[in-house]
Amino acid sequence: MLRVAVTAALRTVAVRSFAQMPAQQRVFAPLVVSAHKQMGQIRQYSAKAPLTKKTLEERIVLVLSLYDKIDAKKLTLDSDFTKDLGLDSLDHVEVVMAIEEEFGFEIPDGDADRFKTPRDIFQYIADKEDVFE
Amino acid sequence: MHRVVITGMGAISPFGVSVNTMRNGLNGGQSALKYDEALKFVVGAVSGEPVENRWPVGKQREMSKASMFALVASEEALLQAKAENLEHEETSVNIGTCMSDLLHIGETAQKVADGQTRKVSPYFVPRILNNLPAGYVAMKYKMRGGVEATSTACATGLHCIGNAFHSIRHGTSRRALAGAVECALNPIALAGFDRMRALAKGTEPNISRPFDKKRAGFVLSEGAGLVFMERLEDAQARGASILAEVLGYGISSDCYHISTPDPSAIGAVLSMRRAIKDSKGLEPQEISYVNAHATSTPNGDSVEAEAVRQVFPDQNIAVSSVKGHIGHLLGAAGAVETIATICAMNDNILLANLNLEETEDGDGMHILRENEKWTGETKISICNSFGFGATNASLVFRQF
Repeated sequence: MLRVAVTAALRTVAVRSFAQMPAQQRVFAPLVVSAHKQMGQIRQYSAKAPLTKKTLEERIVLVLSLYDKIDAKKLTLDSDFTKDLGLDSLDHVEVVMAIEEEFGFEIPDGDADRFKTPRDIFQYIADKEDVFE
Repeated sequence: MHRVVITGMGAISPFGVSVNTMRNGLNGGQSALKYDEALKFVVGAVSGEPVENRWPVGKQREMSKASMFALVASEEALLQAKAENLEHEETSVNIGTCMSDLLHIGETAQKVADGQTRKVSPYFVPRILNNLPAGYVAMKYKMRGGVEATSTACATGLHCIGNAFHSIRHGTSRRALAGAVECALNPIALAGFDRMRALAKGTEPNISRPFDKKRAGFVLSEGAGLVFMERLEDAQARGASILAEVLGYGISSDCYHISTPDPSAIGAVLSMRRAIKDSKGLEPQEISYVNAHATSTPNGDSVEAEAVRQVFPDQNIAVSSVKGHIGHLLGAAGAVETIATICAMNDNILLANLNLEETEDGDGMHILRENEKWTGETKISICNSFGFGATNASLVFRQF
């Protein structure tokens, strides 16, 4: 499953980025959540870590590049899911599931249907989570 | 009206992937059944490298194992028929299955019960639809003649092949890939059949013993059987080697009970008689072998024997079921047994009932205990399958 692959990779990535984060952000690192869940540990229900545009982009690209139907070499923020990455409508649902899992909130189908590129996802989350910098 | 022949066969059985592994196992009188420590039953699991491993992880999420079985078996059948690159505009596909992906249904039901509907896979529905194995095969080879999946429990395989045979005979489709797949070796299916008291208990593989006095239930197996059929004149024109001719097809319904056959044997009698009648001009005396459905259940085997007695009186016809070797493949049983029957005809072997020691069903017929040489110039056999829901099918084949 995607989540297994994602969390396996995230275990290392997350630990590293967690260490590099400014102290106030280290209070809670959402990236580690899915790894914890996978390892059967408790989920932390404190507030989410503040996102920056950079970390948001990194996390979106990471999740997408670990999705097994996407060729990471072809992936950019502006790749078209259908034309450039070869995903069909059902794969698209799986992609949205992975993003929901990563960021911990549900994306209504009507909104998800408008995601044509990773940048659309980036913009959507940035608007929703008030990420300005 | 066209004469219809089989020019390619593909099989996955507990003996392994390919027709020949099964053929060798059957001819050698071996059992492919084993006790499974985890499932706590003797089962017929496909041996060797798991078929799923031929696909990347993403595809494994997308496709049920049954669809993968269908793709693998179709590859073998089309390769043997040298039909991979034929124009398949008028080729129809009829690949059925008895049970759908119960494990996936169970996992999904759990997610929904836990309020996690957002975690339900978008591939849930395609994975559990019974016609998707046929759909994947048709898509791969661009077979545009129509995709069907006749589903009639344990008679599925014969119904699929029979319906496809008729569609070619009557010109509805030019060629067809037909048969069935079954991947129900899981705790859910076993629990269900066990609650019906249908399964054989014990740890020894020889508990699958069709027609034996001590039989007490069937052994659940998985696998697939597909045949490629075409018009006789098409096969001859393109120089394909012909494995057998399909002569006739008959079906019937018991209208007695959902899982117990009518003790009068009316269901099996009607389906066999209709298959013989459908084999234009054929007399029952010309048939020399019955490939029985006989699953090793106390009732079922006896009622089938009674039906054989009525349809082939005073003929001492040879009768066997290969379920002692490979167990019961549910929906795929008739398809795999069609292939076993055709191989046996071409190898001049009458296959034994494995594990048969003592029988009370042998009056008026020759229930085979050992493999015997199949003599006679024109070999014609009839293959039976019966399913829950009181549905019956019979097909008649002639060696070509």
